[in-house]
Amino acid sequence: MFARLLTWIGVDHRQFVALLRLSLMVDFRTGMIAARKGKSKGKRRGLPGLWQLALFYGFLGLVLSFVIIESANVFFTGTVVMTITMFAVAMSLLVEFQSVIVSPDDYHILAHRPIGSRTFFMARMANLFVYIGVITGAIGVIPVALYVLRDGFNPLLGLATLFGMMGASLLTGFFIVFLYINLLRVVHPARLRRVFSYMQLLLSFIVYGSGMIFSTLLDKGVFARLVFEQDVWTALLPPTWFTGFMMLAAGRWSEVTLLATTLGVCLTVMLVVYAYGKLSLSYAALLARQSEVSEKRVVHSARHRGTLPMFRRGEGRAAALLIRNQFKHDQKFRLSVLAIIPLTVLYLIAGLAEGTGLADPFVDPARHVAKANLLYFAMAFFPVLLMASLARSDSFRASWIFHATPSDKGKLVLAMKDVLVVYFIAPYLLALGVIFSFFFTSFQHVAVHVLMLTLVSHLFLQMLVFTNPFLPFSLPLRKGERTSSVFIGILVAAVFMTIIINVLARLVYPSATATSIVLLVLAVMTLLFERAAAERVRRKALTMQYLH
Amino acid sequence: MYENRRAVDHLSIDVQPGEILGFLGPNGAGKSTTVKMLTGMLTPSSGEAYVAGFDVFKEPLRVKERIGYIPESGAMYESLTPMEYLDFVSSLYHLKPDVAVARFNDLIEIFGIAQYRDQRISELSKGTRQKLLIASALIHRPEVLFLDEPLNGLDTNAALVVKELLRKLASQGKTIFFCSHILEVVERICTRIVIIDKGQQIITGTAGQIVRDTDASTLEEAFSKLTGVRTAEDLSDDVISALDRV
Repeated sequence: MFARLLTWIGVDHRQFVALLRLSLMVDFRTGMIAARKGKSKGKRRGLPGLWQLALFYGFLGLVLSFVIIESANVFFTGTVVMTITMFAVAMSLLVEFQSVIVSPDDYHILAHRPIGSRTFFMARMANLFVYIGVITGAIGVIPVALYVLRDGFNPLLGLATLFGMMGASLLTGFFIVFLYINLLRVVHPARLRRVFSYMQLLLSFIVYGSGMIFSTLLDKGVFARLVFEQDVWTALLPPTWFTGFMMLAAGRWSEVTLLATTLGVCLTVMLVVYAYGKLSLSYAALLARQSEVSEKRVVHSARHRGTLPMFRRGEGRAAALLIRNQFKHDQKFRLSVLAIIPLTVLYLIAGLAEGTGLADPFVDPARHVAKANLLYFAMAFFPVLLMASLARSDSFRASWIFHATPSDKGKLVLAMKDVLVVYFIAPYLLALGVIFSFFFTSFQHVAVHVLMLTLVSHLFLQMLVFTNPFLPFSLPLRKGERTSSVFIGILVAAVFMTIIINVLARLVYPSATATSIVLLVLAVMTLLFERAAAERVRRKALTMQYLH
Repeated sequence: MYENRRAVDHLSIDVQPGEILGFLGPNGAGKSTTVKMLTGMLTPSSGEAYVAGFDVFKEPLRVKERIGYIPESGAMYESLTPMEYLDFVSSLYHLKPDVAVARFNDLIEIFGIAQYRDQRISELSKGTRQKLLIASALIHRPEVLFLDEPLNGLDTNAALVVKELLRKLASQGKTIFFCSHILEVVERICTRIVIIDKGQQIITGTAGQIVRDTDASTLEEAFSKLTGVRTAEDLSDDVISALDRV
């Protein structure tokens, strides 16, 4: 029946099924490939990506259920549900699953195969529907159940919610297709990918931030008291176009509801029509050609000027060049390092939330520790994050160069640690110093505190290098493994930092002599540890091999 | 036109069934662009091309049903296994499932990739990937084969098998369009050679004819003379003097 229908509209059924199956396998296995690298052959694992996705969005639905329970206002809660759904679909399509829309790879692999443009389009559409369906379904399970049960038994409201969510998702999905297609006409795909990656950073900021704001609002019972009713102006908000379905089901509709809902449906249909002819192999060809044309970028020469003496020759220079350039060009590495920024900003905001400032640890140690503890948590996390990001890379195979050249692998590992301190940790702590200067009573306090934190961070980094020395970007990416090791690292770092900050603020800073002695002790410890780490790294380096 | 320049210009090639045409040229000469146009992957700004009797630009699907292509890039969907990839490709050519399974079982056995059948393509070695690419280009028994550096990454034994296979396919009446930089291989297996440079055909003939016409002693030397590349001796001298800088 379905095959006949497809044939009737000019779609090759067999090719359609093959293309759809392929897209789903590619999309949902992406990211799982690395996890299998280096492992012996084994059985297929089904579609783990799909379950991860469903689980994540199911959790989002659970969070939404608190709003639905808290507020009796269907228009308000429905609009929140539609907004979150649209946001989730947009971010997922833009950031993670761009290939759902159209991938340049399709051109290289499929363009010489006998696939008609209508078949290709329908397969892409089906892929998009499946994808949107998974996200929407996962977010919707709990909210839909709540709407069915909240006022007696109202299955129509549940159905309308699901219908509205699907509509909202489709509009968003096809709007992203529209946006993506038009942006690619003017922007190089590589630049667009970079922009999308920064959006991922923004997304994490929004997710962390809204989580904090959301829990605060929930605590204060804001949702229960909020008044948000249908009006002419609310029709300007796209999510309300789809809340309209719910209002119709609840029997609380007006002309505005009808108009807004009709507008939403019409726009969705228009975008689907627009997408036809765009989601084609010819469009994939355009993408591929654009990808092949190199992006015009300013290339800076690698001169010595402005480089510290320790990074001007030998392994130091090699490590500095590699890490700095990987940071510039390797999106994954850059983003994993930059992930510290939203975390720091949010913890800073959390510390400042009650409006009493961070306090000077030399003047009011108890209040400083209480207000800035989350900030130190982020600070302790940074070395762990850096080391985890530096170990694994997509370009891990290029690490043969460390083994095939007469470079001293021990020196390389230590140089890598120095590069992290000079180019990442020091600027980060200096930025924190600037923030501290607004709250501390004297510049001296800021300087001493930042110096102390730099020594502590360096010691921490030395310990990490000492316990697990590795060559930069020499291990394959393994999804999940990094998260778990970083999680353990965070826990250790958090305990370590809490003790250090409490000791410094409460016991050391009150006395100038004690402060000087601790600074001296930390400096000596750094030197001794550097020797010990160097010795261990040198010994370990002898056993490092290229195993890929 | 490619990046606002003429990638291929006034190129006229006629290849008969049973022929193995060696298509040569220096880097950037327009070889891959020509192959992409002939396989329906690129549309030229003007001109016409017929493959297996069909107009490439008017009836691209008819052409694509009849050709097999091995791209130099070796692009495949990395997250699939060899079996899944061959299954996928045979579906696109409408092979009957039982025929497809029998063929890809045979092919992966013959090419020595059976033990990797359930591993992801991303995990395979370069040579194994190339074998899979060759198998996927042959699975639907194409009339015309476009091969862009097909011996990339293959070991000596596998390369020998592929060369012999091409000869046999040609003897069955298949047309083979062979792009390579390995002139010894081209000289040995191609029945005719076309050399292009800057998008234009500069000579055509058998290896022997080209060598004679250019007063060269080898095809390599003839190629160098024709494509205006400085002699290997001059270039190597320049490299040595660059390395002598202190």
